[in-house]
Amino acid sequence: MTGSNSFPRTVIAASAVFIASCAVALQLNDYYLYVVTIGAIFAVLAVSFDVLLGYTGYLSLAHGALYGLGAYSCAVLTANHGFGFWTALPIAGLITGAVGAIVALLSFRTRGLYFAVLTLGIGLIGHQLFLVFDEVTGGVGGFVGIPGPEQPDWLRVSPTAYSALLALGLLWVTFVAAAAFVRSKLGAACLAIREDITLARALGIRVAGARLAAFTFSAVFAGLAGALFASMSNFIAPESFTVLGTGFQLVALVVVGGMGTLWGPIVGAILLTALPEALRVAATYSLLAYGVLLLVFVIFAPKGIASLLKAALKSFRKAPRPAPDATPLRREVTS
Amino acid sequence: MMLELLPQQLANGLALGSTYALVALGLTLIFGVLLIPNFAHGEFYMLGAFVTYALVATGLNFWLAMATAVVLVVLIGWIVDRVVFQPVAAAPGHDSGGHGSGLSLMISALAGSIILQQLATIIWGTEARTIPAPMTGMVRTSLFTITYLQITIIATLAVAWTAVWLVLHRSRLGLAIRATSQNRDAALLMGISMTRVRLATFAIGAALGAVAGALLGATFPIYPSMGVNPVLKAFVVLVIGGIGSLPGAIVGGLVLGMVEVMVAGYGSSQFQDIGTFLILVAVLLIRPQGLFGRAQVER
Amino acid sequence: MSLLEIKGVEARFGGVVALAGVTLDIPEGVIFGLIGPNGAGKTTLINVVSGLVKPTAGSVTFAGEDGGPWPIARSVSRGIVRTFQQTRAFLGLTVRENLRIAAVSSPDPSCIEELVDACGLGPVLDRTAGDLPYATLRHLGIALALALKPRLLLLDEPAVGLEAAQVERLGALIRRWHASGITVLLVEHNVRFLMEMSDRVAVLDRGAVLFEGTPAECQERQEVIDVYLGRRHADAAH
Repeated sequence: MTGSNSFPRTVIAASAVFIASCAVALQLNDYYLYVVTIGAIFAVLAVSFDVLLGYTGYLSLAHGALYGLGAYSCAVLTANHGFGFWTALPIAGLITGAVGAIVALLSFRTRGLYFAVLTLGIGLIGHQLFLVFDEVTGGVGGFVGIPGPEQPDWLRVSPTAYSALLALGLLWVTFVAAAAFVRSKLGAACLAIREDITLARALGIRVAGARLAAFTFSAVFAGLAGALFASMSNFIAPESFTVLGTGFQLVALVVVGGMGTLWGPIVGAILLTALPEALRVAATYSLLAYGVLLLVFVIFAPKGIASLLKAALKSFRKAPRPAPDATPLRREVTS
Repeated sequence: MMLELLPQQLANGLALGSTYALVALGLTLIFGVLLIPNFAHGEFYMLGAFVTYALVATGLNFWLAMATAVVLVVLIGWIVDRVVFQPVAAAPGHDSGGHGSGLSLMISALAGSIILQQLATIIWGTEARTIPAPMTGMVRTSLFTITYLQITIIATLAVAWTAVWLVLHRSRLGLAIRATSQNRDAALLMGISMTRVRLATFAIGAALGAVAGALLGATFPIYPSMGVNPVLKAFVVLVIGGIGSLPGAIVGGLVLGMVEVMVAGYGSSQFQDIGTFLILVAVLLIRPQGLFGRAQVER
Repeated sequence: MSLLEIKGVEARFGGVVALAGVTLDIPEGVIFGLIGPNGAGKTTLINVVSGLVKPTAGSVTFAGEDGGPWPIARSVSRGIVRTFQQTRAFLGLTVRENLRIAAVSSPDPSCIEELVDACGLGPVLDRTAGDLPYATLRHLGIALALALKPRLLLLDEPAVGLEAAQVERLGALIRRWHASGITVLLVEHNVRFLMEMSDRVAVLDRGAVLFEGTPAECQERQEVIDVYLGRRHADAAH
């Protein structure tokens, strides 16, 4: 009883897109490579965040700080303790996942608005802690001199291109992992929680375990994304990990792209992160655009670009033959 | 230690807490009556400060500037309700449960908050500004010193609270608002106009926020993201005082203000905000529904 | 031998007494009907037995095991499964997705294919549950519960709002699964349907058991007729 696309087909499709985008990326100049890297990192954040927001139905505002935790973990491990990037990366993911699990255990004692407010508070505390513990983090001035990821000798590309390939690779891993998660029993349980938590309980769904898994999953990948970001930037500062900066952007990426699909958030990340960079829009205007787009989508297309594309595709396919049960459009928008 | 500072700390805390209470009063009213988690409430506060600032800069008297700012922010509040909240509430599937209304209202509130913040940034830039203090001088007693401005802030809270109480308990509109907060469906059945209730609730809430912003802006620097912390603190107050409880908002605001001043005075000002949010986390953990939370909050 | 023993169960919400000491034995393999006027405590009793509401006093023994009522997840794993009064399914998801969720905690997911046939869900697998006709949605709600392979199925007013022909189909469905070995506790306002379906009947009034016996005995008892006078005539005319 799986969906219409089987898991192997999804993996093959994702791999094809991954290889194609790597091939395209290698033709780009350094500036656009940087854009690709940032876009891919935000896509990693968005896809894993959607497992929590879109599939499980919980709005967390703590993920900006979790992303930061991954970044600072990697920075401290590589710059201060001499770890290599490839060791630091999984450790950063594990640390963030563990802290995320604790945050989740605390936050899931509440629901709805309180959950959002509580995670917002935790996100703000996290951001403040990056500032307060300046001996470790460098405080406002930031953490300088983070080693870049070691590059194997056989891969003869520029460091910028290497960063972009790593970011795209992490995105591929995230996508496949998320696809496996949402198809698993845990994923089905998360959907049940999102739709009707009481009925889910009555059907014997282990609610606590499933939503903890979703939160932890998103935290681990936020940590990995942060670690890669720190390593490729060589420099990080608390301003990259604010609630209203990163935390809010994530919500916007996922909602505009399409909650409850895995490719929607990637589209959202490309549209909202890479595009403003490529067009060199001032940060103020791009945040304003985020706000306006988010509002427009919440009101007119709450399931994002993904639902619009699906609806368009459906009506395109359906056009020749008469529709057997004629409610496809409304269903897309309201479900 | 340093017990002789205590009365002074209490006085400062009372003044700071009064601004928190003003913000929380508006937030709790909007949430209690309309079930809207208005993250953009902090921007009402921020705009109150900036509009006052802009008008004072043109040479207008501070109090006139504040009054004008209140009117403008009320208008903005109505626009926010019309543009940000009503369309979401009217969207198809809003009441279909599950994924439900709460999530989309929260997201649209976040969007509204960001839009107002960024508009303010475009107009005024990000650097901090100050409103020239409308009054100087202070009362000195043997125990503590309190500025006229601080006294004004505390008095404003008292006046605002009295005014809101009179509106709610001595007018027909107030009765309609209270009925709606008790049971919206029943209120609708009784022929209460939801439009009027919404307009009135947003007007009162936005006005309270704007007053708090103008007054605090005369004491502290102002900047476009200044609303974020107060609105979060107001949510803390809501949780402490009980959602929809107006006396709870006042008591909670005052308590929070005093705790913060104490933490800053006896601990470190670096930890002032962390302290607040730790209180928030602690309260929510002990009482996930808030100290006096009502079940309907979980919608 | 009794499958479910409810012993002295009390439930109070504030000052309101919903259940005032209910004791009932439900034998294995029966369809046990529970009737009573509005507010008699029928749904509360289902809530208690399924673990959704904690009783203020009393206990439940299931299949010889003491210590109940258990939290809802553990009730389900013991084989106590319920449906809801206002039929609940995951309205935003397709029927297929609904069944996939039921398969998560089902001890035998292969039974779902059979359920799809029996409940007539085959033609609507890819439709969103929220768009289904009322009667189909009701069948989906029951299919979700049956997918968990219950030993005891608690049905909370399954026939409410259905037309006569649909009630008949529902009855056939319940009988079919009952025949495969499921014990059923049926709460129902439709007295005629309940009397036809049930092997044993109990009448609940103001939180207490007023009568327990066979349907035939029940229909002869004056106090039951008193409690139900208006409603029975209304249903008979139906």
